[in-house]
Amino acid sequence: MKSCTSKNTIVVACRTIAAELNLAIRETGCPYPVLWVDAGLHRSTSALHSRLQAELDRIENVGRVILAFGFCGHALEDLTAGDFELIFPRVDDCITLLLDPTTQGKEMGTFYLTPGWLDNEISLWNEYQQTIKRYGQTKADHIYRIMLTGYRRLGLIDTSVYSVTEFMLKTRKIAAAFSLTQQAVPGTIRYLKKLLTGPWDDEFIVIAPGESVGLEQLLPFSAARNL
Amino acid sequence: MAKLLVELSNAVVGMDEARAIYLAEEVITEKYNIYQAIEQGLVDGMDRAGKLFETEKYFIPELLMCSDVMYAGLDILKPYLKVNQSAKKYKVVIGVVEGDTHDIGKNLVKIMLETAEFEIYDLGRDVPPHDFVVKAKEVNAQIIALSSLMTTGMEKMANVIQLLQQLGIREKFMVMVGGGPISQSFADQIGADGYAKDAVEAVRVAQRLVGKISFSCQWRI
Repeated sequence: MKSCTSKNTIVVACRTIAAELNLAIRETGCPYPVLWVDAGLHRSTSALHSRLQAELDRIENVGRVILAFGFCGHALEDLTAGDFELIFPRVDDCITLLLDPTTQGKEMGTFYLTPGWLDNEISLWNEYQQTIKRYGQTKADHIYRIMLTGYRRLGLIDTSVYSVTEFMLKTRKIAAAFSLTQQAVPGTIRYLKKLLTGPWDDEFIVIAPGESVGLEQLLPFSAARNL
Repeated sequence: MAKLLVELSNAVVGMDEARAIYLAEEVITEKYNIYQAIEQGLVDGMDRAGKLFETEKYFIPELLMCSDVMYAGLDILKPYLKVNQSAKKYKVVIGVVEGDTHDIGKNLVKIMLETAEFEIYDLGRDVPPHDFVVKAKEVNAQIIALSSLMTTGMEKMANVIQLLQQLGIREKFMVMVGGGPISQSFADQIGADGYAKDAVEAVRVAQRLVGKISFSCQWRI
């Protein structure tokens, strides 16, 4: 892995992966300033897009901006870089970023969690609690049974920044409430570290200064070929 | 009758299932117009719920609860609905594309389309491109509606359209797409006929698309 370059760099990152990104920063020795964006914006792709563009528009006098985000729906589509290079990982969301696509992909039927997701105000559990408060246990259970029909297990991603054993205990009530099994899933911060240091090869998308993110750049390779 | 219609609509928006059932039974005992009770009561309530969803006053749980209430009312009223009171329906084959099991969005679209009197053939989740085409041909559908939350699913959407083209039946069906990573520009690029950002908009898109079908048919005649 390369070491940090001297180019002025700023990271714009999703708060959901704060613990993992901070560890990656420590381990790589890349002390770039980080602008954190609230994970709650994920609820609306367009709100997230507008916020990210607003953050980019504010940034001046840097050579490179690293976006520590997955595509998050199409939130990154049409983002325009200022007078700097814009780099982000080629992943659909940050679950894939932490699971490391070179070793394994997402499994259908698994609802992935890290403490970062759970702490988010719009997490599955918080929303479930809100629904119980508003509409009562019976209705909330009914609704969440419908919403989670396709899921069989909770995948607790072990990114080494927290104790999986403690997280198992913490999420036991979630698994019980939604009739899911719990399983620790190997995670990694390899991708995040490479995002900070480069080389920015095929695992990343690099946008030149002043250019915009095109749809074809966000598609899986084979889909882009077919268009 | 007018007051009862408003109350039925309110029961749906207010997620009050017991009230909707009580009112639907009153429609039967008082021999009110069943079709009107469905259209101007239950469906109107669901339309209002959809507007609240669009303006972010309601979220997915609320929309699901409203639809539960609407279906509870429909279960009571439908057996009394004379067949000829029900207009000819347009058919939609819907599903989550292969490789993806996220189906909350697809289910909401299904509910909203049913509310808008479309006849739905739900193929469920993780549906191969071939199955969409086979089902659409079998039931003579007007629309194929494809949903995916994952970028990998986007390729499958393109595959469905390519398959229709290869079989020489592309023009027989309108294809609409939606889901997290999907955008209007993506829909345009793969040659889909419509894109909807959410379940409420999906109804407007589907209505626009079947309008197009009628229009082109008139031209052929």
